Amino acid sequence: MTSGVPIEILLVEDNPGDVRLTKEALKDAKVRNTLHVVMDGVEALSFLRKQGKYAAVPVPDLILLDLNLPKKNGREVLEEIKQDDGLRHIPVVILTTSQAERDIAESYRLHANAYVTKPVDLEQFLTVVKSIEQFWLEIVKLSHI
Amino acid sequence: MNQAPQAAPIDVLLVEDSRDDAELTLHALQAAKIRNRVHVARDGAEALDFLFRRGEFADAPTPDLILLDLNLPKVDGHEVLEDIKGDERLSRIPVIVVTSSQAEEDVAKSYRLHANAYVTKPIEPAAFLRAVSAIGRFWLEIVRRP
Amino acid sequence: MTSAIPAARSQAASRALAVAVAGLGALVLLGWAFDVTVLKAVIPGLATMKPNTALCFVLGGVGLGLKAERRGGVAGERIATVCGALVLGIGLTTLVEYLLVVNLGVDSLLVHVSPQPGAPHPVRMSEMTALSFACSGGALLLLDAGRGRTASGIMALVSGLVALTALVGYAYGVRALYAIDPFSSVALHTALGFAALAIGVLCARPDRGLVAVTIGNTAGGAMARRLLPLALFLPLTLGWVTLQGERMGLYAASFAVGAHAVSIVVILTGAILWCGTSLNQFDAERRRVALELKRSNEELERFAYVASHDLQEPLRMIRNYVELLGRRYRGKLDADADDFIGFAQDGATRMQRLIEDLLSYSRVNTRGAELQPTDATVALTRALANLHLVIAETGATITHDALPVLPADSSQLEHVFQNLIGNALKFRGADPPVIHVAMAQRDGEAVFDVRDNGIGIDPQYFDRIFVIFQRLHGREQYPGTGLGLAITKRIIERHGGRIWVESQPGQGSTFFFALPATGDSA
Repeated sequence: MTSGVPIEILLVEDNPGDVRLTKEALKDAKVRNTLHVVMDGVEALSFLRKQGKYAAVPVPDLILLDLNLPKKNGREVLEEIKQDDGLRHIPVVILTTSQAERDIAESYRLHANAYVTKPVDLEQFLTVVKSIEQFWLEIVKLSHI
Repeated sequence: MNQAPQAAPIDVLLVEDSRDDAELTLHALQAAKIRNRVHVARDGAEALDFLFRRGEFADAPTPDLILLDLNLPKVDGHEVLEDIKGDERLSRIPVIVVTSSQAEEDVAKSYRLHANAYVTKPIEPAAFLRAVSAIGRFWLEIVRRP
Repeated sequence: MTSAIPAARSQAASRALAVAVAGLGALVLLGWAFDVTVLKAVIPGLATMKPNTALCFVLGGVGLGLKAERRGGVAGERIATVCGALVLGIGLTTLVEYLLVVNLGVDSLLVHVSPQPGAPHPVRMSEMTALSFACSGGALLLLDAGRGRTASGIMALVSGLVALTALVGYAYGVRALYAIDPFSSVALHTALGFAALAIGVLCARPDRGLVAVTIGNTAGGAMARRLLPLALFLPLTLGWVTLQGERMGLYAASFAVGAHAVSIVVILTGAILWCGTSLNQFDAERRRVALELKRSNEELERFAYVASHDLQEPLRMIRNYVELLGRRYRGKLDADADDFIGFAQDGATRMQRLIEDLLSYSRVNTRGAELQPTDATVALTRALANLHLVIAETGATITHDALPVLPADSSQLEHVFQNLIGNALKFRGADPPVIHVAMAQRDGEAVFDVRDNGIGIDPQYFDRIFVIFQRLHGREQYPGTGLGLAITKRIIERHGGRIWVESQPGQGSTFFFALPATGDSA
């Protein structure tokens, strides 16, 4: 899976603390990756549609999406991604604090690829992000359209 | 506090026509921390019968996870995937495509049909074991399933 | 809406009626002893109350009085039983005499009058009286006898019905209603005595049966209090009026019956519609209150959820980054810094637990499951499984009695056991903990107790420990958020039960909790 080209990951997360933690966790990843960060739902969709200042960004290979976002929440972003012909092939991993059954069911109904709850414990958080990285970057074959 | 390991055993449906691959997969999943039961379907038609509880599978449980090969006799993997993701009850089950094909069209088609992930089977058995273990670890221990 | 009648008043009425009945019987006995006609027959020419009848009224009154009073102790109970048995015996024997046409000698227990032509058994009580005494005696005997309680109520009602029929007979001047054969009839004051006795028996136990429904502070009670007087008064009055008209020749008997039937239809329909309207109002009020409660609960849960959710986010940041700080800079800054980081982490961890406990507390009612038959042993076993590490560490011995199946929320019951036993383990003394869970059934309740040999509690704190956030020990000595018992108490109260403690410092503690053993809890 490792080629010279780094994997592009889009992290949609409004909490700067969690952004930093995720960066820390992905730093030692086996697969080279570039982490792009946007902090609300509207920015996320602009990034994906290469609008405005995002005209030259790459298409992400993987999206890590929080549910609690300002402006447009994660659920709406997920829905728009999976309904867009040019974007629906991108795996979206919901990474959020909510453990609510209805959030989980709703996300899968909207075709989220996976739902992961952010652990409260630091050690577990790092483990989880590393697992995400291992599975989606090392094991999984991603689609490049 | 988080990721409470689910107490009841997980039902996994493995749709795989190769005996060797099925055995390896079973072996790898048995080693996972979460108790799981693996049901094996040898072709696409059997898989669909199992999922839609037809005939001898009238009492089949709804699986919590599906590992789906693409090259299947009778009904091929993409058709099975389409049927699964088109049914209300079944669409929420995570489907991991585990297949030998590396073809871009297969990958793209799978994701567009809402496969949750696509994994290419490594040829070498040890690597295959590692891959299935990784799938098991991620989907049984890390991910919250619906 | 007519207001509820306190149970005490019912029991007072029961006692008063018992005295009246016994007094009546005693007066009539005196009448026979000194041959005073007015005492024997109220209105000369009417049937007399027979000596046995008077005797049975005395016995019945005494028995009822003792049962209603309940302060007589075991001796009082025994006397009451004997009285009831005697009344029943006399009634039954007399009935047998009638049925088998024999003379068993029971009629002449007190007074002997030789048979005369036209009066084969001059001092024998009438069949209806005998039947009524058999029922009254039976009702008294079975008053507190487990399954026999319903039978007791029914028998009292039968006896009352006999009385009512006889009284109506006297009021309407229809002899057939109070006399089956030409020789024996129910005396007027006998009928009154039976009415008093029957009502007295029913009122003696106001917590059940007909009386419970009537005096309760419920919609049904209010309806009963409104309608019962009507049910008694209207048909009887109407009957009398119709009868008078027929006797005066205004119309034929068949017309009277028809007119009577129509009026009953009108009365019943009117009463039912009136009932329906009032009940609807009552119901609407109840529904409004229930809705408000539901809304209030929902708001509380939303608040608790939002509060805890929004609180946990910044808390998580604090914990994560303080830990990262610790990891990255441990040993690289000075010793003070390590201490500071430790305190910060401690504080954050405690706050995390507090928030979780607060959420649990607020969710006892809002997330509680419906009460269903639950095996307490299973709940206890699960709680012990959750505590198995601590049990092993402390070398604790935990035993329990056979535990019942009772209506409960099984996970909440498990929580109660886990909290109480967990506390018993936590607040242990120098010796390995020895804990026993016992259970006793009392008055429809299952009373559990968890006894330990730990450090005990000073009696002045017995109430405080159940209050939210109250702790008796410093955090260094015994960890905890001060919510465990508050949550447990809330769960018990949700189940319609109560919880209390008995303890002495240094002598272990016993926590008691009582839960309703059958349905119909709060």
